[in-house]
Amino acid sequence: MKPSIAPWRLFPTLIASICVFSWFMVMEPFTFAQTVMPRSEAMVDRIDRAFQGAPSLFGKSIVIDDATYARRVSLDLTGMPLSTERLRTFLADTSADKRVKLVDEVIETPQATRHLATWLSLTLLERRPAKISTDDIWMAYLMDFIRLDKPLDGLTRELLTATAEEPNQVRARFLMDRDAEPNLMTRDVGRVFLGRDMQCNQCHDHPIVDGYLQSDYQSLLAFFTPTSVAPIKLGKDQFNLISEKPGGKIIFDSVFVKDDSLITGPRLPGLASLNEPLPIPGDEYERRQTGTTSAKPRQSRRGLLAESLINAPAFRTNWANRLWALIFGRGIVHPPDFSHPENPPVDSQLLGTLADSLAASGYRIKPVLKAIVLSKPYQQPFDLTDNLAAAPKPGDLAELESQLSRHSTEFPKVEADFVKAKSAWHKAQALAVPIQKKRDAMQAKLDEFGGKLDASNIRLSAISVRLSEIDLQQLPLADAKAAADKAVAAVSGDKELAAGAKAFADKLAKNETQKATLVEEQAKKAVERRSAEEQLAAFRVQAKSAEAELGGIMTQVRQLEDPFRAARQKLDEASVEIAQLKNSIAWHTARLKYQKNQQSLQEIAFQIAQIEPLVDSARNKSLAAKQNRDQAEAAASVRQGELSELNRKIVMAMQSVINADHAFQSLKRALTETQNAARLSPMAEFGQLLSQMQSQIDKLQVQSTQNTTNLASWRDRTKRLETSLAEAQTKSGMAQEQHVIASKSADLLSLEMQSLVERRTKAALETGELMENLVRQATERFQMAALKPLSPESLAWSIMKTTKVYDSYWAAEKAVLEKAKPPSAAQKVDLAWNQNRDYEIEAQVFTKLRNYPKHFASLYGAGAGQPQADFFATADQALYISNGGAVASWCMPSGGNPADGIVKAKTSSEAAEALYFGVLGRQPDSDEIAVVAKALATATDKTRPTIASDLVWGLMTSPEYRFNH
Amino acid sequence: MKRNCDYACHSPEHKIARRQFMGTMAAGSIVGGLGVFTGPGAAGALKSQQKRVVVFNMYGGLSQLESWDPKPGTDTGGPFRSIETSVPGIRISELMPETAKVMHHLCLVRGVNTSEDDHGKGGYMMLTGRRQSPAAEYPQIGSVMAKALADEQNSLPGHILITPGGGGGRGNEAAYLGPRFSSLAVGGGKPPQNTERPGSISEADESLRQDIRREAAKKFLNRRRTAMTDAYTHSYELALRLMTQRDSFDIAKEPQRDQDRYGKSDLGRQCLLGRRLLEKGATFVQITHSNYDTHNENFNFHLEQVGEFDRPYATFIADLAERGMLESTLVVVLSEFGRTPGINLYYGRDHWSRAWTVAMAGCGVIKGAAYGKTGPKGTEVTDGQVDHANLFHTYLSAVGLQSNESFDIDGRDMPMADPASKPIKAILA
Repeated sequence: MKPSIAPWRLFPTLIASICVFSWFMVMEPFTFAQTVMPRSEAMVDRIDRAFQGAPSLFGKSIVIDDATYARRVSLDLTGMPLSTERLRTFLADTSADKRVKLVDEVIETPQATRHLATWLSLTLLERRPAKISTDDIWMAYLMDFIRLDKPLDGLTRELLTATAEEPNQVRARFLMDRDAEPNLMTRDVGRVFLGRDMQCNQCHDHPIVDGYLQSDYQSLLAFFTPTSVAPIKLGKDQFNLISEKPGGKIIFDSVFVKDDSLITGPRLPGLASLNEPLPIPGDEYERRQTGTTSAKPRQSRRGLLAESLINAPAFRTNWANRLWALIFGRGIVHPPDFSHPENPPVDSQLLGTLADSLAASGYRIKPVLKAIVLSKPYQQPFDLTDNLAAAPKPGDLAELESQLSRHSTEFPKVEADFVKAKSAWHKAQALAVPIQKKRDAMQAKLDEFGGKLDASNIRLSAISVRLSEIDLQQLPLADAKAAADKAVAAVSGDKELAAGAKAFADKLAKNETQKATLVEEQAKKAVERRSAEEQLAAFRVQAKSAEAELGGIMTQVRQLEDPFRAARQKLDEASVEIAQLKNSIAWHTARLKYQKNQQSLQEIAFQIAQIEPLVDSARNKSLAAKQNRDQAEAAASVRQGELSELNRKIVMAMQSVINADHAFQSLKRALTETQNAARLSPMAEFGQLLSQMQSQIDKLQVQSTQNTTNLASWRDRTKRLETSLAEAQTKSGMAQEQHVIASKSADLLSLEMQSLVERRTKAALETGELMENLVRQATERFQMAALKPLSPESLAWSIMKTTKVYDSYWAAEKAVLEKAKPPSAAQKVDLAWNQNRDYEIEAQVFTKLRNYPKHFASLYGAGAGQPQADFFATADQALYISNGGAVASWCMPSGGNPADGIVKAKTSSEAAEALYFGVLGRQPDSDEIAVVAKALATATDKTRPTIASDLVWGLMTSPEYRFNH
Repeated sequence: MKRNCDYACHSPEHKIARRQFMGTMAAGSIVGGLGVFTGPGAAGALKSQQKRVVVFNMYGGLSQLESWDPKPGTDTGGPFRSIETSVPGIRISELMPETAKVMHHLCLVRGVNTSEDDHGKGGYMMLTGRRQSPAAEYPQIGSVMAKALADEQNSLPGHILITPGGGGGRGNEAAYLGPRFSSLAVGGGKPPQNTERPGSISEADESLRQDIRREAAKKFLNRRRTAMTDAYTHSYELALRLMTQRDSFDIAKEPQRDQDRYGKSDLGRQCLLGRRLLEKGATFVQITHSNYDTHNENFNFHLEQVGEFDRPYATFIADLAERGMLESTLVVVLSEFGRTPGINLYYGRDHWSRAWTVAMAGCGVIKGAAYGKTGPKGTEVTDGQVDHANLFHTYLSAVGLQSNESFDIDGRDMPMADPASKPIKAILA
């Protein structure tokens, strides 16, 4: 709750800052040469060497071009693209270290500061609404942190030990926005600072994640159970402060395991129990909670947490991983808050190097970020390269598999050792539980009587203050009364004087009465105090003896903790080893499968190339054989025809022979009869007739002989023809056989070809899936660039930057400041002054435009308290971009923005250049120029601006803009 | 590989499910936090059956005694009588004469005991099926149903709240399921925000800019196509489709006769819009009826409120049944809790979570039944006691989900319902 009147008596510094709303005014004074940075090049080198990338990356370095790099790095570090002007000078720069220079420049800009501070805020608060301080002060605090590159360990300490009594109360946000609720703190400190989401092992060992134990959760919880939000009253106003009691031990049960009460003190997951100095029983508090003060223990658990946390290996690994995830869109451990042995880093060496670099830079993030964006893994291309797809060496997979099988065989033994050590440790804890319960009861008494004692003391000191006040008043009052009495006597009857004298007398009497009451109360309180002291002393003795008893058992527990931790470490290492081997095997297999697929595609292509001419020639042969057969068949059929013709002739000839014979016989008979008749009655005519007949007969005889001869020759010919036909038929049969063979072989080859084509189609389909898998694994292993969705805020700022809305606000605010506070000649050339001025301008621009990123966050961001890195795309986002008004109006031509460039362009390639370079920071290709030309072809002076803005909108809503790549 | 818990989730599926995630991701436009089921539950098959859910949220705490579980003639019963319903033997308050006629479609769960008398906590429990816990947030039923049932191709939002005024942006009920499954508030005849093209953009402009967008997307997706890019490009197509569906939110397009049947009250209009949206393919609709928090003048207020609820609700049930939609639509009437049997000095009833009623209808829930009993004066559950978690499991089971399954959220298994509870088998047909 925010105070409505100044509680200046309590927190003079606090109120001073609460009244200040402009963020930049609460920033610490800025000096330009603030820190000595560790050399980035060395760190870049270490990362490159640690990175287990594709080997060829180091031979011939595959690095993206300048334009791609500029867009990528600017989006990653500032949350918006470079201005087209800066991009042009960068591209024109020919120096070898231009990328280094760009990064050095960009990371110090106010835009980068805001972008990185936003990232840090999302990481720490996950869009939780402010329950203390304000968002402005919080952002100012984080921007200050980024701008001065303050160390993360210091920030962690400030956030975790906050009491809300610090200036601005801003440091208390991490705790207070979560109501300092111990379970929520445990979850989120685990997630944010240690990369472990142990929510599910609050009530039992994690059912799925073997590496998360209930004792991890409970021992982290022990840091937070003493802390609570204390409502403190000051006058009529109530404040929430963070109050902390002395910490005790936590006794807990698994909901799944009966009769297994365990005990724990504060401890970080996997690390040794902390040697917490034991407070003197009854003297645990520096200050107890009262209506007007929060409690403060002599030994703060949160203080202890902060110190042990920043020294824990998981702390630096976590932050190194989060920095990497900020830049790569994905952690080396992913998700970054789910680090456990079965979800190990994809590259332990890389993460280790990064964590060491972070520690070596004194937990300052800028040197690490710079090193990351200048490293080789960062500058890898977005498209799949051949070397990446190349299969690993043949023996590698077998080697990995044999390693896996060896580890898997050894695993049960390691696991059994762990179970044994854990069980022994638990048994010892169970023994401590009843004594701790006794000790807790005593602590309750100590707290009760300690509280009474404190209350008595406070009351007694208040009484004695009041008594000495009264004592101080009584003498002058008595004097005054005496003087007044005298005056009354001197001026008798004066009512005013009498009233004055009475007032002195009344005050004297009232003081006496109050004194008497107070003295009485003092005596009573003294008795109470004595009794409380006695009780306290008695319980102290008991507590000490219980403490001693407990101490013995806890020593045993501690002695068993070490073997437990050793066994656990072994088990974790084994699990990590197995998980990483499995990952490597998956990666090898993916590449092998892809390679095999590519090979088989090649083989198939080769076979197809081989078989294709064979198929053709077989087809030709088959065709020739067919022609051959057809010819033979034709020849045979010609013979057949001839034969038939001959046969017909023979038949006809035979017929005519028969006819002739008939005629001959008839003539012969007629001749005989005529001869007989001539003999009976010789007539001259008969003689003539007979001679005619005879000549006919002779003729017929000749003809008959001829026919017979013919017949014989035809028969001969028939015989010959029959032979020749048989020959032709044999030939045709053979040709047919040859044709069948040829066509069969052609068919077979075609079938083979067909199956090859089918195999090729199938393999090509598989290529898609295998490629997808390969690309996914390659990006997960940081061997090629990933697609990274812009954060909601980045998307808003980028659109405003691209459409130059941001730049026009910047120019306006700059002009206002120039006028209000004109720089001196010396300031104009002072780098630090200019940078400060930039920050001032940016603050004004931010104030004017802040509602847009806020609105984008409401559409594109996850809910409060949820992880903020998940991508989702919904219709309401698209509807806002399409019809929400703001974006469409920004797209219109104005002040040298891309649409303006299109309108002013003289040719369509100029227009396309304005569009593509302005929106995507790259040159258009010929297809793209053609699209722009087509869109502008029918443009009139009236429609040109809207068409230009349509083009800008269309390109800005493409995935190429939505994702960094 | 399990080493420290031999008590739960032995199944290797747990891990397998987790690792399957990436594989499944490639198939659809489900990305990142928008995980899929971890078990072999046939979510796909379920989606094709088009199950729908409607929740009537009787805000403030509906009195069971003045509605589903009257105790007339007792000192806790109040002034109203009970009446016969279409199911012999089941009697409800005389304040619900129209509802009595559709009782054969309903199933009353009269033994609800949630032991939570705070509005916020009670409401949370009834809508999430879990007790509030500081370190965990759970998604509400609408988000769970949207995730489990809604078709991704459906341009209507999966999780719709119908409020009297409508409007407003996206709610925050989805917890770890992600904002995609948060509610969209509609009503008052207003279609969702930004569904109208601004006047400055002509039809020709729209078609040009969308063409350019598609063209540019196509070109880029040739280089890299992922579930993310698909979801992104698809969101613009969904938006365009939703723009053509603005009428779905306008009840003036319903026949006048239906507008008359549902009445002119806010609730009547909300119910008619609910019916319209269901017919247009909406998956989950919540209708809020406010306010039942009757610490004073319980009877007068219930006379008015239940009176307003009765006709539109009964008409809604009857319409769904007549149109054959009740078979695939689960309709739940719930509240944060019930109201005390004891009547206070102000003729009011206070918060009461130990014996109250939730009404269900449709989908896989048995019809014309009353499950569970309270004592003669309604002061305790005497038979069939259930709580918020049982009910939540039952809703999921009724629409054909395996309520003991988990969502896979970025590699983490998140049970759909409280794993320590189970559905009310007896009322599932």
